[in-house]
Amino acid sequence: MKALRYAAKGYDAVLYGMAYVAGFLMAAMMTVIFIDVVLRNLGYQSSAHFFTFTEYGLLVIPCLGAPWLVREKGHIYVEILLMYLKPRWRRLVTQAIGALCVAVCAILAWYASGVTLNDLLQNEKDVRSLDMPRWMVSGFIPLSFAMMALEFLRFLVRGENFLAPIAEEL
Amino acid sequence: MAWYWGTLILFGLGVGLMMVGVPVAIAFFATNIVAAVLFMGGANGIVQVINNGFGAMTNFALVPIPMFLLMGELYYHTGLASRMFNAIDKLMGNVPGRLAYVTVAGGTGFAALSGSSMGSTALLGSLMVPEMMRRGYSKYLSLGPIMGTGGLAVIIPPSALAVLLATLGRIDVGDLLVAGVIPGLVLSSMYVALIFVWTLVAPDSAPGYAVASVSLREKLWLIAVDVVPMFLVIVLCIGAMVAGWATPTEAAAIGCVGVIALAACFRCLGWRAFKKSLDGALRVTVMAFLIIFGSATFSQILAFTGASSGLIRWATGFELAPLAMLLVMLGVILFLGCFMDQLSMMLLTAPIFFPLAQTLHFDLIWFGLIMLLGLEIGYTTPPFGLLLFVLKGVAPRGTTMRDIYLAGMPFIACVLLLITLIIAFPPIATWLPRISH
Repeated sequence: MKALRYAAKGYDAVLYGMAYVAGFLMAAMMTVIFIDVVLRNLGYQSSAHFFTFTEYGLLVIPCLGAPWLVREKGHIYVEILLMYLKPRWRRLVTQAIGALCVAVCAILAWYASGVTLNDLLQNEKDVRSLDMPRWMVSGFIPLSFAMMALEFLRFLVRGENFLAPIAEEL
Repeated sequence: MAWYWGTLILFGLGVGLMMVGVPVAIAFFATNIVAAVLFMGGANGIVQVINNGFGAMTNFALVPIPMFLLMGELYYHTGLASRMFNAIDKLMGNVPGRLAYVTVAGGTGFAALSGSSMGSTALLGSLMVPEMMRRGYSKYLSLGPIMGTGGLAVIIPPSALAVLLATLGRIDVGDLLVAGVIPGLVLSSMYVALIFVWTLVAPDSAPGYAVASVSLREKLWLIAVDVVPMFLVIVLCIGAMVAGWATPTEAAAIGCVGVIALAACFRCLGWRAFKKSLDGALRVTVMAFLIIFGSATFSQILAFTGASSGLIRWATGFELAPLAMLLVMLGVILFLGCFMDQLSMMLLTAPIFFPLAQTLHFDLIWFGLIMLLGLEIGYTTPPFGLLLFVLKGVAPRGTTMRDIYLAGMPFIACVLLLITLIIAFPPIATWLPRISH
């Protein structure tokens, strides 16, 4: 039981740690682009890797932040049907939606793992300003979807609603 | 399979799942998975979804989305926004309906700096509504201008939605951003005119009250210290683009650094404010990018099944006049706007509407701007405009959704009038991008 608690704590640390890294990358992206523009306008040769770093950052940031967004109930959804349902039905529909979310994320995590594994075994390169081993970037996708599936599952198992509260009245 | 079956399955499933309450990003992914299995060879199709997402996300053109969001959050959390509001409040003097004018003027400035309609509405709502209610303003005049000016963030640059629309429509990001300047200013002038007429016809809706007088010297000081520097950031942002120092995508990061420098000058840049800003920007960025991840395949499947070309052939087969087609497209956006959020609407409609607009020989910047205005209306149309709920969240107790719906109507009429003007006089939208080249 104690081991399970530690595992849960460790998992939470990873989840929030990933979100912190995503925030840091966003700030780093701003800094890098600013430096790039300043250097270019001062007549210096800036690094082409700045550009590549930013492009990869655009994929990595949402991948690192997505599981945290599920935890924070930050996903937008349309309330139209749920708002008019009786509490019992609303709970049932919400659970069904939760199950669908788990399934969708798990399927994508599974196939994305296959893509990453293939990238690793085939030694695929993403050719930009540098020959980046593709698995090092694509690997964030299965990680993200797998953790999102876990997060949705966590809400389902605990019987909690994973959607932000519905507006009080029409 | 005939193209219309593909269309029906794609749109039916996507819209159906969203309407049931499935999170928008997951609804897109679920539709993609089903469509990939049906039309793209099963497992290989799903692998294609992943690879498409990889390609769509690692695209430099998307940089302004997180950067503009961060810029707006920094502007809000560092207190620069409140500073500008207080200055405008003091500068306004004793005119009937002054708080409504303060809302429009300050809101236009905030819209320009933030690029976020929801942030703008939340700020204006919490700052201005309690004050207006306390001063005896009618609830409609208290709430309406806030929703109106909140929506301005969609067209006044920098606007994250405009960047996304330009990316989806494969049009020049800088051109679409610059195209929003004049219509944005025209729209805020219309709001001012509306408030003027409103207070003239119904003076009771904005009772006068004594305001402490501010000397000319004080006014000049306020303009120099609290207003001009804020607008310098916008000038820096747009100027860097126009002068060719930076691309439109890079200008977003420069705007961010500009706000940070400004906050540092005013000694209001703390670690707490910076962390909150990153948190706020990250939430919306992750949300938007997950939807973009799914949308890459969605539009590809639309093309692959022949749904895109079929729909365009079908729509043009009626041989309607281009104007009628434009109105039909606008009607679709306005209808969807009653139920859906702006991102989802854009991703559903752009893959069809932009090729259709091209077939009809529309100026795509002009068309993009009209689409943005349609999206802006969707923010305030009942029953599910996002700004309605943001305002409900920050308005005083006792404010009903009906009050909020009714308050937004005259301002929606202004946007419709602006759309009519842009259709009749396209240079309102196209002149500035043309001369900026």
